[in-house]
Amino acid sequence: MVIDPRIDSTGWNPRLVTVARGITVAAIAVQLVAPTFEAIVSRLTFAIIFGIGALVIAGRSAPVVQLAGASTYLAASIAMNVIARPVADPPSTLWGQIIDDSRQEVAHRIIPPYGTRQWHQGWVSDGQPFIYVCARGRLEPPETLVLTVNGSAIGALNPSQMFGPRPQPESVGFYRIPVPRDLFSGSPALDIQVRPDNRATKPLEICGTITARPTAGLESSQFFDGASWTSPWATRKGRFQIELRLEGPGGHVFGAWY
Amino acid sequence: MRTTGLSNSPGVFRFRKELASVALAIGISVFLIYALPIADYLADWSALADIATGLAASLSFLFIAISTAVSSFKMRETDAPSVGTHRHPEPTRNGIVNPLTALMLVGVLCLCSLEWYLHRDDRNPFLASSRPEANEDTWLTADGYAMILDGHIAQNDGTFLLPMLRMFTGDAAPEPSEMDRRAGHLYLVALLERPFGTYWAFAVANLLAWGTASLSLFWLGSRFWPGTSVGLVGSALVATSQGFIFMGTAPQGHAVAYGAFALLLVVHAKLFDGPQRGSLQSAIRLGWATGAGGLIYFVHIPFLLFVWLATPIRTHWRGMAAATLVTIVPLTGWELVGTSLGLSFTGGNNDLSREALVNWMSLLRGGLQDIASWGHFSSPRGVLIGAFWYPWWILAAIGWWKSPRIARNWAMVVLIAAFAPALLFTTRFQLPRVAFFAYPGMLLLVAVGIDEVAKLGSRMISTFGFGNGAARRTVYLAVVLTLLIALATVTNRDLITGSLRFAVNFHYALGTEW
Repeated sequence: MVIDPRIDSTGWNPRLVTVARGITVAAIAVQLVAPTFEAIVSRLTFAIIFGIGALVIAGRSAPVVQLAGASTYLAASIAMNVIARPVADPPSTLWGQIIDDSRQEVAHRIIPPYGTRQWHQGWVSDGQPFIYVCARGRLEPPETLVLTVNGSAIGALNPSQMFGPRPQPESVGFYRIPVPRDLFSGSPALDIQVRPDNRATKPLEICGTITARPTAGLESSQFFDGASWTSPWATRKGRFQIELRLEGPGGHVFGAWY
Repeated sequence: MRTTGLSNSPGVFRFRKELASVALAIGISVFLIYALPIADYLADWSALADIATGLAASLSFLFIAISTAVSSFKMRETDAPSVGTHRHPEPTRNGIVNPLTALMLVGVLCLCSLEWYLHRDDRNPFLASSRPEANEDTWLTADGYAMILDGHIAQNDGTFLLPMLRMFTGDAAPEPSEMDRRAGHLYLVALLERPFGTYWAFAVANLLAWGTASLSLFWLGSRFWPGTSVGLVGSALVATSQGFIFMGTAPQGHAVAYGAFALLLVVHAKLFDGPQRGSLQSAIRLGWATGAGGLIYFVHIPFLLFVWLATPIRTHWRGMAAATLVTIVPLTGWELVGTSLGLSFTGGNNDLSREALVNWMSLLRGGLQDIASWGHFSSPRGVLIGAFWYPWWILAAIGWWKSPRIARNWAMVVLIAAFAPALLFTTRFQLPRVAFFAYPGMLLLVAVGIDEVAKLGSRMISTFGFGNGAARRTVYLAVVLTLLIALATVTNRDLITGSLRFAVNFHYALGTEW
């Protein structure tokens, strides 16, 4: 097999190069039709910088390649001004839900992925399940949150369960609470409730974040404000940071789900 | 099939300088082990081997770089050929890429697209390797370091790029960020944003760079190893390479920068091998293209290092100086314009690079003990192996051994130019993704290695009596395909088995693990 990558450019019409350059200039002109002064200046700067760079790079390639490149540039420049599609505004990756009433509570449903290889590997390796709950600051009973899973009281969050870095005492971070393996026998889903300790007097805050791979649907997180239930999916396109992890010895994480 | 069409076939003593550099580096590394302060990790043989290997590899590249720089300074145009000085066989001007090759290149581009598509959303290794099950940043949420972009889950550093993107599209006023110097990437993404949406605009920019890199390696392979399949195999290796798969659809500038680096190597080969070789005009053009590339992300640093090492300084110092100075023009030009628009050009990698340098000064002041400890705490071996796992190094070593001198020198200079910044940065962060800039040199050497192994296979078939050409060709192709599939299996292990091992290695470097 002999490969010769050299493209014979002698057969191409040299006028194509002139046309390609004309199209490039037109593309730059189109880009300058921008809604703000800053957009015009920044686009023009890069049109010059990359335009000259493109001439250097494409200057010795086949004219048809130059023509294709210039046409694509023009098409993209027109699209910049014609198509109305603003840059995406991502939902917040960290927000908080204040709980300042003993009637309030957060609920979250997780369906453990029993049939998957990831779950099986962790389970047969005697993986220990943990519920992770993210909250602000150092929670010490009685000013703390209480965790319930499938109706069974698991316990109150306390400083010994704090996990991960907290640059400031009031930073948010996970609480890592072990749950018995028995909870997973015969139960297709985990219904987790987090509510304030009955004796709590101060407002508490549970963290929320984005949701992309919920095991029980986008509305698996719910907040009860004392009167009605609402989903943070509806209000913030998010969920509460309540997760299930299966961990091996030394904290090796087999999987994390929410 | 010929290994090379170049006249400077390998001789017995052809590797003298490189081998001497490696031997010296190994000797010094062993000596440095004795300089290490007493610590627990000294009781572990694997940790000791890690330190020795990391130091030996780093010193080898350092000594080869010094040797190359000295040669480049001493060399005149009339001396023996080297990268940038040797006039390659002039193209015959009647060759067209034959239809079969063109078809295979289309296949390679389809392979790039397939890998890109399969590693989208939550399967993007950059994102996946930050999830708790990767066992690195276990304090992050189950999605890892993630954001939602246009309804797609994506790597969260993209958040910091959006203000600049909005400035280009005219959706918002300029807002200073750590990414102000990477505006070139955002300009390109802005051109794609309206038709594709934000998530896919970033992704399509990455895919275009991926394809460009593949085609560039085909061109470079055909240039430096003419008449062989090295270019084609190299382009297929890019399609399934760890670096591009890792970046895939991530809203980051790395993949575009990788593509720009390969393109600059093509430009360099074109401008410095033709009749305009070394002219001031060529140097200025190269400098401008380098500066434009630098506005994407980081490309100008390894590329200028490559240019200075690959060009005979004594003959072309004016051109090199001009190229370097011109590189600064687009970079500074944008900084001036951006500052006037309200951008800050502070923080981010500039601060981290400064911290890395300060750490180096501190290490050097600490003497041998601290320098030796660098081999443990900064994990130079982990950075190099994170970027390219062992099989790539083995095949590249074979390829290096069997390559003609010009190609070997060229590839070695690419490796040095890319590894040097990555290794220098290790005192602050260990970033195999910076070391991956070496992929044009590395993957083409791997392609030569594959070619050599395949030829060995076809020769073995001959010795067993199946000597006809068709059988040899079949065996050759079978071995090439087997090796390509084997390597692709490694880089696609996340899809095949769910294991994030190689993605994690590429993200965080290996540490002392083997």
